Amino acid sequence: MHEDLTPERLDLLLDGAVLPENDAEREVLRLAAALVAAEPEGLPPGLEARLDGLPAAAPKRRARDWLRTRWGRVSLGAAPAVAAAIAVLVIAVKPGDSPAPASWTQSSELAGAATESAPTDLLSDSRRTQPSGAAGEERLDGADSRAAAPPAAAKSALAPPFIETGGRPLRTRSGPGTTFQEAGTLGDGTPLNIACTARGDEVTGPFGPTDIWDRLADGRYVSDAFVFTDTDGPAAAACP
Amino acid sequence: LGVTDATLVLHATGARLAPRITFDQAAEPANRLAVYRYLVHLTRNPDLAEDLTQAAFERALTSLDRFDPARGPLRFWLVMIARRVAVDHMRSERSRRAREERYAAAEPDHAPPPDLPGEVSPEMRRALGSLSDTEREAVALRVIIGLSGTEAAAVMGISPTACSTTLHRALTRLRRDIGAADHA
Repeated sequence: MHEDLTPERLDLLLDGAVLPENDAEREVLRLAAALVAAEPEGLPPGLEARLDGLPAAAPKRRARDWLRTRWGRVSLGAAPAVAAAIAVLVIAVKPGDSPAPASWTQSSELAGAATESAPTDLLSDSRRTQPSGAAGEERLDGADSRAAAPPAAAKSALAPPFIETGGRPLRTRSGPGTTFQEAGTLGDGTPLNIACTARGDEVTGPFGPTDIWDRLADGRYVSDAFVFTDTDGPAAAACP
Repeated sequence: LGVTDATLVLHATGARLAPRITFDQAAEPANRLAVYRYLVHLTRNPDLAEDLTQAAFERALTSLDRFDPARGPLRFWLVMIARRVAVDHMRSERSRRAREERYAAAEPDHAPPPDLPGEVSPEMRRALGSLSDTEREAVALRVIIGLSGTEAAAVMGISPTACSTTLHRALTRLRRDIGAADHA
């Protein structure tokens, strides 16, 4: 090949944009033709059959895969939050229940469905909470045998104050605010013994937004936004 | 929103439209052959090339809706997929080998490279074998598959100029080696 066959000229020759003008150019085209001629004529029979065996259309993408790819594209970090929000809505909207507004179902004071139940000895009324089930069934039961809990439908018959979360466990805190350390959870419908009330972080719930926090007899606090007290104001005297 | 606006919105939001091509169009005989030939030269292993060809068309099948004719012809798109499949395979193969060498006594592997299919003369096989991976890939894309210079460069992830120079170097060496064998 001659020195004067530049890469640019070679490109044009290979693309058929120009015709060979000298022996060097004719030689390189002969070489290219020889390379192509040396290629196998067709596919190996086995491969041909394997490619024929592929389905003619892509399998229908399942909705879950689609969502996963969508979320992966939007933001990986946002996916768990979105999933959690949808899970909350699904659990909260039970047959017979009115849909819970997202403003309070997303409250940080509501624990996840898998949250461990509070230790029995910490509960003022000695009732046990149970880890919530996926179906959103009543969380209080007669595990204690002496204290059978009312079913969900009869919750309204409970004498206030009691917890109203739409089915999820409510976080309890060591102080009147969302930044205080968590001290376990209480189940939906748990009757409370409010010792006194304090002002703290504002929380949005079925009975809020409110900055009132209820201190229980055992010293833990819950946001009044999730406690039915039959009053918009403090249900007990201010804590000392 | 008009139809055009809606389409624009769909594009802007990354929504997928219906595929513009069918799998049969993508897997027509000429395209199958192009992908297989390219993979044979890329891997220099006909058995592996068969497996990778199948994997490439499987991947093409599930992403037909991503083919955009504005970005290049069908064969270019398929070769891009084939290269990704091959690179993924080699990467996992490398890590697998590294793992095995770490945990087991490495067995000496002196098996001669398998013969390439086709009517490759011994001289040409030797000459092709003396090319670097990049040079061989440039020859496969430009000469054997017939992609344009721009397309071949895009597949290899290099500039068109670098692709031209590589191809020029490769053909010069092939011409010299094969010519020398002819005169020997």
